[in-house]
Amino acid sequence: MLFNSINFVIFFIVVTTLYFALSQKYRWLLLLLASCYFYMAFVPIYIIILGFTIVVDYFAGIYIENAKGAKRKLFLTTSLIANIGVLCVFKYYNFLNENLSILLSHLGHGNPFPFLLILLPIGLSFHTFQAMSYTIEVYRGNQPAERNFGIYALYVMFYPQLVAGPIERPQNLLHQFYEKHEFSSERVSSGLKQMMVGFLKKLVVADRLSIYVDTIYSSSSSQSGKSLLVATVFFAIQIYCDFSGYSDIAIGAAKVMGFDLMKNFNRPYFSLSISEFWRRWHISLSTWFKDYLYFPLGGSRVKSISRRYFNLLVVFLISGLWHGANWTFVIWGALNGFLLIIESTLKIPFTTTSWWKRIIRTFITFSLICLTWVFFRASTASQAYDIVKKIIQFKGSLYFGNPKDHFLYSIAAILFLLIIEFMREYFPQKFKLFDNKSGIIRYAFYTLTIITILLFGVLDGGQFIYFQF
Amino acid sequence: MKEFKIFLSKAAVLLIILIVSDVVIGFAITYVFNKQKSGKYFITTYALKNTNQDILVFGNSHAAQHFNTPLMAEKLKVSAFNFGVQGQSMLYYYPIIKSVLNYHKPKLIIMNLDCTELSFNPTNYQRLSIFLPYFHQNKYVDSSIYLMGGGEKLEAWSSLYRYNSTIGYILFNVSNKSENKSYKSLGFDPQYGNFCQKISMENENSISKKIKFDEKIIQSLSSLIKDIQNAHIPLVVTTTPLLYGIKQNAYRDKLKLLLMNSKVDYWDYANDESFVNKCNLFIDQAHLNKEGADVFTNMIMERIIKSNILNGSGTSANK
Repeated sequence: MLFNSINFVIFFIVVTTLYFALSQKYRWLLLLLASCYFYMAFVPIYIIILGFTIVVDYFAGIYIENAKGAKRKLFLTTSLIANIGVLCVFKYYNFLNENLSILLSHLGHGNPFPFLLILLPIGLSFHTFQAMSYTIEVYRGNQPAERNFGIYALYVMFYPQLVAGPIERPQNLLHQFYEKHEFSSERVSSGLKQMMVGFLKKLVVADRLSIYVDTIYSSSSSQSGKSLLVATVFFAIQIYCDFSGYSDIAIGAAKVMGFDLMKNFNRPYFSLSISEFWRRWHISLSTWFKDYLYFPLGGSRVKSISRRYFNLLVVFLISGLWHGANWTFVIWGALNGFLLIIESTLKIPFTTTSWWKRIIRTFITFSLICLTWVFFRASTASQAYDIVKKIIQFKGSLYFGNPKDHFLYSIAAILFLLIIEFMREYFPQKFKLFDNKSGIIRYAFYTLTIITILLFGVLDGGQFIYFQF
Repeated sequence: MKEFKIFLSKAAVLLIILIVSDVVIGFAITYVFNKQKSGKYFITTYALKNTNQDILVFGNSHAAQHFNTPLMAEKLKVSAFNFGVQGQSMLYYYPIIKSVLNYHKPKLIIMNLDCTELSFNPTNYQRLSIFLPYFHQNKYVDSSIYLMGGGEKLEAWSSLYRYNSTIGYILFNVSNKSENKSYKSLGFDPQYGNFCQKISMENENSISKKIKFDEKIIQSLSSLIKDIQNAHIPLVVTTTPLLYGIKQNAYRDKLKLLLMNSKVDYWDYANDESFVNKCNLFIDQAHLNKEGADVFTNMIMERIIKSNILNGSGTSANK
């Protein structure tokens, strides 16, 4: 079930109403059933896979807590193998097999392993990582093992963040299922406002830009450098609005019911450096990698600088693979890793007080991030390479799309987003729109937002990009 | 409970503001919408309400860009109008022609169909959104909107939703900057330039190996043919030229058979030698430029004159 569908609107209203109508004792059960229904609306059979990892991790958590010494590690390893194993089978098997086929064919052999005709379970990487953070935290002693199987299942399956995050930690989410959330008008309004912002980002900006991006990238060989440059910039905005829009809807929906989910985006395109970008982009995943991979590898506290760079590169290569089983994602991850290493080598300061330096650094950071997005969006590494080459050559005329007014909508949507984000970044206390003290201004902006969505939104139920991960 | 009441009262206020805004802004957009002087909405509105011409041409861009109706009107000494709209299919022509037949009896209907007209294509259903601004104005149009499925039936109640993503297009066509697809051009949408300098990346006319017919389209076509014949209006079905022609395929065979069984004349120019591989007559692989459209229209006119359709005899339908 997509957030941007009428079905979800009905589902959300029904579940939220029932949630507040039921006594606290049964609320977790309602949320669990609703989450199962939500997940099964995509491909019902895949709930079995989710169920498998839930059962394994539930018992692993209890065994880790009860065991002592090496056995704790054994149970943790079992849980991690189960989770990563599921990821490998469903996400990476065909990718690995394809590369094996290429390798064997070069050696003059055939590949004896068959390809699997399976569809990637939706949001698999998200809930697998959330489940792994639970067993790791139990192992580290930061989280007591959850004894209520239903509550643990709900921790993994909580519908607002089930398919595309934010990837929560047990310390932040699990205890909230035991707390009684009274109906609060202020809180519900705040949640609904955040959802509205999410819908605006997704429907008016992301899905509008995707029309142009899809057209240009699907025929990149016959497109000009100018069109490819515009499409790449559009994609940078599209992916931000698509994913942060999803996160806003997820966080808002949870907030309506009284749950606090972690912030996932913090206006990343205003970053002054690549390292700052990664502190502002997909925060729940970046911190996951930092806590569970970068720090265990030694992080930046290792003695040798080359080891620190190695750690960075490993994290970003795995982050690339996390996004998709394709060499384009691996290159994307590697590029980000290399950019961070270069930045670290050049000892670029974290911040600057000069406004013109801020503008130049923001522009350079955005341009470099756009370069990496080419590899993220392209179907193959060679397509990405050709696109970058054409962009640098900067030849040919700009394609404005058909009909042309859609291009104008895209530009208008970007300008609108830029103004809003700029105001929120640099003047957070001024120009409050949804939280303005004046009721007239508040209601005017609620109305304007809904009118904008109805008049300019792309309302054909487009898929969220991050669902595929 | 008190908190819930506060929330409900706030939500009710917002809902009232939204409904009022929807009605008022919707009314204003409708006013501007009806001022359009060109474009697909002008063509559609004109077909649904005002047409009175002798020769009516229906179809998609292949009709709009290939039938030079001003030339037809001049040479044949009759009135003519081109109702071709880019990207549309039988699902669009059906309610349009049904509506026209309710209030007007033309001397000839030309229905231009693609070789793959009978194939199933989900996009054909999405493109029925062209009818949203006409919701609740015509029963045929409403039935077409319902074919889109999803929540369209509900969503179309919002005036604003009905004009989703159309404001820019409407304003452009109100400004009278385009003569194409206007009353002045009699709906004709001429294209300039040629295909000789361009490289064809892939054959646009290649047919998917997986054959899937759209039963709804077949039913609509059969129903339209019956209605037109019952009204004793001559009908000709045409297929316009293609730069590289097209091979025999299941859709084309079925279309031919259906038209033959219904005793409808089918003038198929897809592989006509006057056009195949003549890049100077095309703007792309499937669309003629103005020069090509003139050549094609002249061929059609010759055939109309020869078969004496306009005088009430000649076509199979009238025999």
